[in-house]
Amino acid sequence: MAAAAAEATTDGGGKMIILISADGKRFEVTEAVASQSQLISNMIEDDCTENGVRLPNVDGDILTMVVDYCNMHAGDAAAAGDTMKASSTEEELKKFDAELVQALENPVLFKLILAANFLNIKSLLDMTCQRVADMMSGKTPEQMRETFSIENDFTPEEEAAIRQENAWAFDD
Amino acid sequence: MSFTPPLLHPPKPSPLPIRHIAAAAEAAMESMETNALQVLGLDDNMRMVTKNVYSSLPDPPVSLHAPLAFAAAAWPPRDGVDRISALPVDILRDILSRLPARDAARTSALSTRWRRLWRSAPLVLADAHLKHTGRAPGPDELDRTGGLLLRAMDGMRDVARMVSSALAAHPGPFRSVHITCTPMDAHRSELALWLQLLAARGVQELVFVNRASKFDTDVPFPATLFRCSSLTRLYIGFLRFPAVATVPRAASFPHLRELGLCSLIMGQRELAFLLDRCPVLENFEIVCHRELLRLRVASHSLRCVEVCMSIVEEITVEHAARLERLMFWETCGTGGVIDNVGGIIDMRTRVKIGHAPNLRVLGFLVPVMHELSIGNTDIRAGTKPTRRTMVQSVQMLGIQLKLFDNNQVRMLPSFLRCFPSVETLYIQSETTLSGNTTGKLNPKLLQETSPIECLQKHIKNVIMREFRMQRSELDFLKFIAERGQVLEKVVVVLTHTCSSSADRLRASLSTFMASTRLANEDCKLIVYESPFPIDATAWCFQGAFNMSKDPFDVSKCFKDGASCRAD
Repeated sequence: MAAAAAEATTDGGGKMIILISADGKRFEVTEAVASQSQLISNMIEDDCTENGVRLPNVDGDILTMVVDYCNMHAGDAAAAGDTMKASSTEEELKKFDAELVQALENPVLFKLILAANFLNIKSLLDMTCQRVADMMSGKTPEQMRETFSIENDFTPEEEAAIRQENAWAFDD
Repeated sequence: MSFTPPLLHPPKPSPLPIRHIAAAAEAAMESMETNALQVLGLDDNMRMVTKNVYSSLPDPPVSLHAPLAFAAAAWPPRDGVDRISALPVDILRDILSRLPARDAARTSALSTRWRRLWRSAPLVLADAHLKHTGRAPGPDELDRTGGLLLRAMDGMRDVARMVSSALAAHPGPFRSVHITCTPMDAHRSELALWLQLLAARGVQELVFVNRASKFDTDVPFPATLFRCSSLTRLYIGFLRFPAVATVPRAASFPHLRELGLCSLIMGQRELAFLLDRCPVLENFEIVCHRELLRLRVASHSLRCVEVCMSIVEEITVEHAARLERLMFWETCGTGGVIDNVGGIIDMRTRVKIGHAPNLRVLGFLVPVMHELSIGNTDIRAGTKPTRRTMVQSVQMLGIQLKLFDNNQVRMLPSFLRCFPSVETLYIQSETTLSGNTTGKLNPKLLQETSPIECLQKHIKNVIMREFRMQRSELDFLKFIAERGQVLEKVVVVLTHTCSSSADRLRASLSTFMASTRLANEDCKLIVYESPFPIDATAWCFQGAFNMSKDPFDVSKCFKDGASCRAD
């Protein structure tokens, strides 16, 4: 990517945009790549990306993952007109996404969700939220608490009342 | 074995047993690894109808199978920080909407932070998920058949009470409710209550199929349905549709984009009334209709119409500016007799195509049985092609016929001339029950009149399905290959029973093609074996609603039904 950054424009990508993470790391990406973030897409439209886009709540390591993801998915829109091309990259994308989501570990997964939410990248938010949902699926409340370190702040009476209220969900 | 057509009140004269449908479905059912529907004591006809209905339904948006869940191993040593509860409320609601309803509701017992979240997230409920009490099914247990069986029965316990509780406990909105495995015969009072709740809580997606075990099931669906005006997607099955007289005149479904009517007792008046009240409907399927069907398409919004396994007097496209796909399969006409080799003769369905300037996909037309009219002209053998007898927009055409049957073959050129722009031609090769198919194709029948424009100038792909290596099929292949000047690809799909000798057949087909004088020398021959036991599947119902895919190409969707629809 550093090599590409030297160019003012790349083939088909248009202008370059600089993203700056909370810890000051700079990422140079094409407009097409950056526009997958609805937030940045709006900023591009409003012409306020001239001096780089500061992302004060996204760390450099998380932004690296986001930029990788957007780079990978930037081909999507461009290839949509050409069905043959789209179907060949579809497989690669699926593989890339599966590997990315598999690799996500506890703190990173939640940071990535927050980044996808803040940057408004719907497909990335969907994928990461699905990952969390899958980890909760089929578990009892006790198992969920253990998985996510959730502290039970109910009194035993309160918890019993809640279980009673939704008895249909609790009896097996 | 015999099949009683799916009609509650058969028209006069009453249709005769459609045995070949039954035979096809029988073979398909036998192929299932777990013949679980049989466990329920369904008779043969009912099994087949059930299979068709359930395979036409969309999957619930949420699955019991959690594909990304290989969590335990990948999850690092815990640092005791609760990061999930710190997520913004909107994201937590999003996560809850991705869980089966029971798992989602259970989160209310996690902590005070979670207590009211489930009730504030849109409800996604499937009764099949409530039935499931054991471990979640593995990915290899959820292929198309498994998914179907899971939806259809998935355990035997009655979950009506749980459905009532869940619907009552949640204040809405109801994003998606799938009730597909509850026998409503035994739960008529619940049915009324559920409909009230569904209407009051603004249900958006509703799949409501009575889990019927008998063909003559007759459970009236409450007219309350017409108060669910927020519906965007609706599938109903094995129910009696409310009579027009019981529905307020002003009722409508202003947001409904997708509609499936599955094995309903529903008169022509009710059908016309319903379609008239769906101003934005795009996708419409009708499966195993239980009364005589006369379908009139007059819509500014419809894009895809699918009709399957029904007795159809007439399908008329009057004006449908956006209609792209008109698909039918096993739509038999009325009247008729069975000939001495088990074929049906003289059962006629009128197919009339009026104003449909965007119609791109049409099939499977059955010559002779389907009496085609275009504009005001009836298409007969030898009808002279004029602009008024052509539908220029059709690019993909499906035709089902017995290539050894002279009466059908004689119609083929006339049909092809009606669609001069066809690029992809599907031929579903039929046989007879007796298997007596030794007849030749008489090439003279195809050559009698002027050249066939689409064949000479446009057809790039010909796909022959259920190929049995018969003389008439080879004759047809030769006929096509010698004339198709732009023909790029001939795909031969060997019928399932041929698969043991597939290699031999492949070799002799190659030899055959090599000896044919190809009109386009670059034309390629591709041979593969049908993944299906017999011609039980013409297309994938849900897949056909994906406008970017070839609706007749089912080669990739015999596993993992959900992906058929995906982009």
